[in-house]
Amino acid sequence: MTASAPPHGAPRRRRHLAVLAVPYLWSVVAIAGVARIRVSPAGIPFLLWWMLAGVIVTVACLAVAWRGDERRRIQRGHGTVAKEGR
Amino acid sequence: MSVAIGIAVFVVAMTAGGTIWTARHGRRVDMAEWAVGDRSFGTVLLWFLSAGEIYTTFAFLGAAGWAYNYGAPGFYILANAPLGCALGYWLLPKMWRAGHDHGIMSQGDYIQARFGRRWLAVLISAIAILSLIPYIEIQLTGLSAITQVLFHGDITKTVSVTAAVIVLLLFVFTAGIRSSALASIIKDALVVAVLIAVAATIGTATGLGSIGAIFHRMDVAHPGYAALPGMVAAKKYSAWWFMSVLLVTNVGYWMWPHAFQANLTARSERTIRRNMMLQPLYTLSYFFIFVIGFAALLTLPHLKSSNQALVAVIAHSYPEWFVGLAAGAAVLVALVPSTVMLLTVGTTFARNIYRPAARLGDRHRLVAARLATLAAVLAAGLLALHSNATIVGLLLVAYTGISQIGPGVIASFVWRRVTAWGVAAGSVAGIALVGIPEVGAWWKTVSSINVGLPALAVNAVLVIGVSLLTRAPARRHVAVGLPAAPGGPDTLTPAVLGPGAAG
Repeated sequence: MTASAPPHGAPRRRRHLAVLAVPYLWSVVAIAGVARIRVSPAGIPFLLWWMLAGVIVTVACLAVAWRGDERRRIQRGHGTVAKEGR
Repeated sequence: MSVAIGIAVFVVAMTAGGTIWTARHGRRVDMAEWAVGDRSFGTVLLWFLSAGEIYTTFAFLGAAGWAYNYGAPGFYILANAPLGCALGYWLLPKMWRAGHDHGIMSQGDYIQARFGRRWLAVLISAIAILSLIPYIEIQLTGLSAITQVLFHGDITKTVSVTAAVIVLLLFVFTAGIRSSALASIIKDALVVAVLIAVAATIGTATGLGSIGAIFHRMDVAHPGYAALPGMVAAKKYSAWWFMSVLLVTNVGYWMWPHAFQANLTARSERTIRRNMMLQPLYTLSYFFIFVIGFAALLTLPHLKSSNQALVAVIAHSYPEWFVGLAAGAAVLVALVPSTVMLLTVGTTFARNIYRPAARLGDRHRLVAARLATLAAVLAAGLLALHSNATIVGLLLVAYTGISQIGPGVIASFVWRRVTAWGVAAGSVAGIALVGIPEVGAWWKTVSSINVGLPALAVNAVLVIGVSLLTRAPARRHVAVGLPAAPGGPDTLTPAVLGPGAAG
């Protein structure tokens, strides 16, 4: 949907949000291969390990996105800081 | 079990009574408060409110039930909320901005403001309400499963479902969203406490040994559980199925009218983003829910319904007072999120389906909202009575339905050219594909992929194709979903919503 590119002056681009694709690669795309691995480290099925790790990976990616957004907010010095609070 | 029943009733009654009293003390209820809590919730309340939606009956009873029934296929549940948050981090601030800038109170309002077509708001709202009915059915099925276990199966399903319907209606009609936020704080504290206690002691209580021993015994007794397709190979829960249900669930994740509305109560876009970042952590606790499901299978292999697995194993292996606490927590888990869902059924119907163009009094619409809520609960109750579906199975039905408005709604935030006809064509075709039983039956012979995914593909193609062939909405409508630069010519005018929409 490249047609969605907004006209000039439209909302800021947030390229750092590309990191949000990682959870999809981990928890969806990779399953095609992960489902074939039949080992159980420490007795726990590999697929369960993988999905649990996926939660952590997702939080990490969201944290990266959050830091990127926070940095932008501070750089732009938007007067919204006080209003948005905490 | 009378001690357990007594304690469970006490827990629920105290929570309901206490929070309703606190929330309503000296306050009058009007439509705005009933629905969106005056848009003033801060991070803490919002976090609990959303957690209330994550810790649903589905999470608590459904996940344990699927571990009990199938094993590995249930692990997909672990990625639902995290992927939902990854999408939400990007999408929800856009929704919030649209709602905030345009005085929007419901998803239907948004559709109308974004496309300037009232009939499209009616269509999308109707699809949303239809998809919510199996979702409410989940809560009733859960409540009924808990009651059945507490009464040792001495009562019929008719009695337990009827009781569930009555309790749910009482809870919803005595309070709005604000009390549901308070109730979910109590509920979450209780659920977390019960979950930690059970996870720490389930091995000893059932005599199975440590958590490691439970996994070992599963390996011996049910060797197929650890990998796809799980313990019931005939169900064809393959890796493709696993991937497809995650995608379908993800597209539908924020399409629920109650998710839309809960998001509007946030204080700022920043609050929402931070919530999205923290929320997936809740999901790790599913690990223990799976363990409890496995322990249930090893201890009570012949349950009538897997929906009862979690409560049944606790009832079997723990002292009565604890069973009461756990059952009380599980009942709250069903009641609290249902409140939010049912409130949105009511407001969606009253604002976007029932004579949306007419100027009706607040009182009039509130009555319409309550009647719609009543009808939805009764419909869900009837379905629950006549169905033996698993809770996770019901959720997948709900998600294949609601996800069909996803392509259109998401496109409305990123693509200026998307039109009402495009959204309508896509979502109607999608709903038809997932809703006609013959299509689903035929698809199952073709592939193990969930039918919702090919339906979404057809849907998206139609949204794009039909939009390109029809006229784009006026600029002021497009600006609702895609705001132009601040101060630009497209900045909002309250007129977008038209009569009957504001306040």
